[in-house]
Order: sequence, then structure tokens, then C-alpha cells
Amino acid sequence: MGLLQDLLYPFRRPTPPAARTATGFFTDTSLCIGCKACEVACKQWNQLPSDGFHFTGNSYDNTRMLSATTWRHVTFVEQFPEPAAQHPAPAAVGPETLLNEGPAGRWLMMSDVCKHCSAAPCAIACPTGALIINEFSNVYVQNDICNGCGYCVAACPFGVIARSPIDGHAHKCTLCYDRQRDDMTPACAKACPTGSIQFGPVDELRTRAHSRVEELVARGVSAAYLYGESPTASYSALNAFFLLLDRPERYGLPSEPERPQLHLRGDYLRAAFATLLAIAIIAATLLNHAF
Amino acid sequence: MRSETAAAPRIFTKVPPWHGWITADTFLLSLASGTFALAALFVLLRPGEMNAIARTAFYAVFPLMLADLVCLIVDLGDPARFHHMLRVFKPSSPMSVGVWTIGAFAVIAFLAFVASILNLPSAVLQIIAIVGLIPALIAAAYKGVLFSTTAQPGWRTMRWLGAAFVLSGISMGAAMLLAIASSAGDWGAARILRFILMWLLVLNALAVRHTLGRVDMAGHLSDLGSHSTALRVGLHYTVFIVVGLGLPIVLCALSKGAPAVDAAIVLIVLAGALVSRHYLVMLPQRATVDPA
Repeated sequence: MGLLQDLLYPFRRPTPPAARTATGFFTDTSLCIGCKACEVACKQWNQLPSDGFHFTGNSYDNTRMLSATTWRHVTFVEQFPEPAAQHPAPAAVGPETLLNEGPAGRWLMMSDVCKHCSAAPCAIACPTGALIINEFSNVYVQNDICNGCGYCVAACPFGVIARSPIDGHAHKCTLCYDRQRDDMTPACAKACPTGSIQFGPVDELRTRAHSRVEELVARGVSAAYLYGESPTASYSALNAFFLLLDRPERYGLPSEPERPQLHLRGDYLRAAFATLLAIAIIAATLLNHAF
Repeated sequence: MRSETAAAPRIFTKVPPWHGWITADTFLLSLASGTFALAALFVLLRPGEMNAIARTAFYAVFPLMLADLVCLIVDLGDPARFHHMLRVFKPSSPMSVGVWTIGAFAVIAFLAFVASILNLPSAVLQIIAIVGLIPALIAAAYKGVLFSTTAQPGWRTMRWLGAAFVLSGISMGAAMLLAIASSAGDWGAARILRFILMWLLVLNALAVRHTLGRVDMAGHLSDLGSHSTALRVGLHYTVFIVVGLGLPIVLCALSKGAPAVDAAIVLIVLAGALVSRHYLVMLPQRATVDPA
């Protein structure tokens, strides 16, 4: 009975919930202070195990990347002058020099997360239907369905989703689906002390994000721009998008992500062409050669 | 001049958890589907002369498919859930298309196996061949499209990979039938198979060349991260084209029918297919992060 239940269970199709307002994250990196409260809140709420205490050698980063057990990751990028240029010769440094020198450098910090793409390559690729777009237009992994084939891992251009060595299934940010269903804010956004992570209806977030960019530019931060808030020629809009202050690559984001399935039809057609060519050669040989 | 604690990476993807089992899967599936497709064409186009060879080939296809299914299931993160693949059919997902195709092909391979064992009439084999030909060809091709429609460095630029897979699969099938014909002493069939194999390998070499880029192989693979990695990969694939495809083409063209030469051709074709598949499966893992 148990085995039969296991076999039949995944084929049951309950009625999906009615669609609700699309929600997402707007992560404003100009406000991030790298406190990692989001990482901790995410791990705590979702009961994700520790990644261990390892020295990465990369600033204050100790989780390195998003993974099956780290669904929020704070990226640290230190941009400072070379030490030799920073400290030329102690004797030559006077108070005036110290007062007049420009900013010594800067930190770039960004709380990275699943982008919850509008047309998510992982969900398109998933052969089991475990990855779905839920009623909040978020990309959600049904853990009781995933069988760990790993195709979603290969499909994600952002390197977000990963297969867990613990249970063999794929895991990533759920955008706190359970909290949203109870009209609560996702744990990371709730814990963020600076408002760097903002949660809400995607349309509202986009409006807010554009205003924020205008505000920063007016203050002289001309490098501020939005990443992923609108679709490009090769990729859909992201429901979790970012305000960045440097090139996307600096934060570990691809500058021009491409939806892998864009080439599906062409690749199939080329394979079909090759097949027909092979069949033509075989048929011509078999029909024209005497044995 | 700024120093940064983390070099800005050019590779942003995670490497899929695919290793040796997937190498074995790509090899076994190509061999099984290519062998079936060629045997089916023989049964349909030259039913009289080639039936004995085709029947022997049909014996082999089903065990190969069984072994392939084992590889696919063992490779899953949760093998007990392999049947979850059959919950949905998604034409947008090459893996979903592949799973359903493999399922259909495995059933047909079983029927061909039974029909061969029971020595059923040629008409039955012809019906099985007609029904099984298209699933076999899709099974031979889909894995290439599955790889090329990912975000992985190396794979994502290989627009002709599906074509290369199907040509390689049928070439492996031709090598398998050549082995059968040669060992059975059917020199007429062996001569024709060498001719077919030679042209399939020529097409395969062209497809592999197109897969890697028409002009600048290393440049086309530049998204592997570092130029040295791309050059190394380009060099390895050049060696594969010359040794794995060029050498058997020459042997097929010059062979006078000596069984030892046939054996060499079969071994080189199959070994080349296995090595190149392993190299391809592991390609994203060779990608290195380079400062932008």
C-alpha cells in the first residue's frame, strides 16, 4: 500500500490556487551594509543547515555563493587603491594631504537571491513539473516532486539553483511562500535593517526603484542603474531585481543573460537536417549497391 | 588602479551534477538508438540480404537500452523518484521529450528483441522498424539539444551539437553492424557498411567542426573562461576529429575487407565516441573563472 501510494502520489493534481498579485524583491545595493541579517533570517526561517565555518579569503564572505542551503548570499567586493599607492611615504603625509585626498575606496555589497525570472529557464527545463510558477508569480520548487535530475542547475544562467547533497533534490529561495500565504513579509526583507531588501508587488517595486535611481543620480551617484527590472532581447524581466552601482559582473551577475531555450527550435532543426542527410546517404547506398 | 578581493567572474553558472553515469548514458543511448535506426533502415530497404544482420543487431539494442536506463536512474539525486519524469510532457524541455522518447523506444526495442528471438517473419520486423525508426532517431539526437540549450559555458554555443549527436549515434550503429557483418563473414554487407560508415563519419566531422565554430575554434569557446582553457579544449577536439574520425574514414576508404582492419575501425569509432562524450559531459567543469 505504501509503495502504491508513493507511485501514484505524484500524479495527483490538486486544483492550483487562484492567481494573486505578482510579488518580488527590489534589492537596493546602495543601502546594503553587509550585515548578513538576511542570510541569517533566511536560514533560520527555512531551517537551512549551516555551511560550516570556512575562511574563504574573500573579504567578509563566508558562504561564497548561493547554494541548496544558502538562499540569500551577501556579496562583498572591496574596491580600494593598491596598498603602495595608498601609502606612498610616511614622511610626505601631512594633515593637508589627508584632508584633501579623495575617497580611499569603496565597498560594494549586494544581497543576492533567486531572480524569480518571469520566464524562468529552470521551470521551463524541469522535466518533472517540480518547478512551477506559483500564484504570486514566484518560481517555486515542489520538494515532494523533484527527483534531482539536475537539469534546472544546468539551465539557470545566474547559478542560483543547486542540488543538495543531503536529500538529492534541487533547492532555492521560495520567496518565503509559506509566509506570503499568511500575508507576511519574507524573512530576509523583514530582517533587513536598512531597507536594502524591499518586498512587495512587482509593479510597485519597479516604480519605487525608478524613483530611487533618479534620486541617486540627482545626488551625484550617476553610476546607479537597475538590473533586471525590464526584459531584454534575450531575457525576461526579473521579479527579484537590483539597483547596482557598478558593472553586473562585479556583483557576480551576467551582463547579458540569455534564455537557453531561445535556440531550441534551431537546434532541433539542425539535428533534423543532419538526420535527413544521413538517411539519404544510407538509402542511396542500400538501393544502389549490389551485395 | 583598484584591487578587488574577488575577481569579477565571467562564469556565473553552477556546474550540473552530471559525471560518469551521464557519459555512460550518452554512449549507450547513442549506440542503442543508432544501431536500431540503421538496422531498421536495412530491414525496410534491403529486407532480403540484411535480415540476419538486422536481427542480430536487434538482440543487442534492448540490453543496451536497459543498461542506459539504469545509468539514467542511478544518476538522479533521488533514484526512487525516477517515475516522476512521467508526470508531465513538456515539449519545451528536451529532457522531458527525451524521457518520453526513451520510454517509447525501450518498449519498441523490447518488441524487436522478442521478435528476433522468436524468429518472427520479416513483415513483423518491418512493422517494428517503421514504428521504431523515428523514436530511435529522436533518442539519438535529443541529448545534444539538451546540452546545447543550457546556460553552461561550452555547451551553450554548440548550435550543431544535436546534429553531431545524431550523426555520431548512427555512425556508432554502423560500426556495430560492421562488427556483426564482419564476424559473421558477410563480406558484401561489410563492404556496404564501410562505405556508409565512411560518409557518416565525414558528416560527423563536419558537424563537430560546425559545433565548435566555423573559423576560430578557440575564440568560439572563449566563454570557457580563460583563453588557455579554450585553446586546450580546441586542441583536444582537433585531436579527436583527426584520430577519432579522420583515421577510421581513411581506414574505411582503403580497407580491402581484412577482419583486423574492420575490428580496428569499430574500436576506434566506439572508443572515440566514448572519449568525446566524456569530454563533452565534463566540459563545464573545465571552465575556469578569469578576471574580467
